[in-house]
Amino acid sequence: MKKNIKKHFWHYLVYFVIFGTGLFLVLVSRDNASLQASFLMITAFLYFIWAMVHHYIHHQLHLRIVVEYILIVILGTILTLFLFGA
Amino acid sequence: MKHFFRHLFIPHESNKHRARVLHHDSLLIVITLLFSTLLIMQGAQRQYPAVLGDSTTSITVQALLKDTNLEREANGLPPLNLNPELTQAAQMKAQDMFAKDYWAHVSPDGTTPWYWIKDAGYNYLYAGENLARGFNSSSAVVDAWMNSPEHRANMLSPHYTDIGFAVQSGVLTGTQTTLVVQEFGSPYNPDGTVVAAVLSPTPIPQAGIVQTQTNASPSSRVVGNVKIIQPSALAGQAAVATPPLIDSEMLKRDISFVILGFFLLALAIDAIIVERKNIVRAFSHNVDHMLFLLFILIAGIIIARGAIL
Repeated sequence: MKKNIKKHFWHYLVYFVIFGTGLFLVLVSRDNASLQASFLMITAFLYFIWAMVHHYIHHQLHLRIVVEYILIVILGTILTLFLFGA
Repeated sequence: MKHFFRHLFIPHESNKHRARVLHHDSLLIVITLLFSTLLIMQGAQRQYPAVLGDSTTSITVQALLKDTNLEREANGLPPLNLNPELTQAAQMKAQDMFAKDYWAHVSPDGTTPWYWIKDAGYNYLYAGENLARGFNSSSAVVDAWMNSPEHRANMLSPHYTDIGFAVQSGVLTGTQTTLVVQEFGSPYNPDGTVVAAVLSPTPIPQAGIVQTQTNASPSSRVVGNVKIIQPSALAGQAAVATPPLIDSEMLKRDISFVILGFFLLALAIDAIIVERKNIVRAFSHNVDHMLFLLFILIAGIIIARGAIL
């Protein structure tokens, strides 16, 4: 794991920036649930984009991988809906 | 049973060296179940609100008043009296917040809390406001206020003699929430020059609102906060409402946290065993997924906390 992160340092830097920014925006928009939900959804979408770009660069962009990320992002999105008591 | 759990969670030949719960079809089943649960719960909330509903009822004016006065007594201050006019002002403020969809002491059209207090017929010398939203118990609301210096200053101000609360539920800034409005005041005494001399203008704090006036005209400043909890309380009365059997919002959050925990654990077990057994995989995204789900979990914790103003 560590090796993988070290090997793809810049990719994972972007990855952490996406989540860090997402968390920061969720935190600062505490008074607006719609905005918080939007930030969570956008972060989930950016995670998917990041994964696609990452695997494309490494020539690993296979259908199985795309499906796995889609499923995980959908799972995260539904759980976000639960968190907001939708 | 042991084999079943091993099949579900431990990378093994039986599951092609990947925990079964992490397979695509398993994820799809979980997603479908969650989506169905969401729809069923939404339907149940509409059909059986007494069973599955908004739990704002766990916040009552009576408990808020009691907890507030306990804090004051603990700090050597006299208790505040529940005042019908201030309660009415708090209710009007809460209704205005829902109607105009804002979370602030001052409405988008510039209406201050003092307007509601005066409109309710309370002629004040000192007035203050605390707001809260998204809390699930009266004690949590009071604790949050006490932990905030500006709100605490309102709670423990020796200038106030009266208090009023509103606990109302509704959709505010896009989310179903319980709003708590706490209005403080002390009646204006036309001969109040002595008290007025004690007052000195202070900067407007970010949280909470306090207003003082040395005459009948409402020029003032802000130092208070606001919080939301539940629809309740007629003027001067504690809220008496029957809470639903199950708090839908809490249930949904709990489900979300359990599922997140479950998958985080499954991903971690899978990753550790693959690493220890040196199982070779073409691709492994466990860490990526774990961080993503962890992000949702942390965001959920942030969201779950109520807010005060």
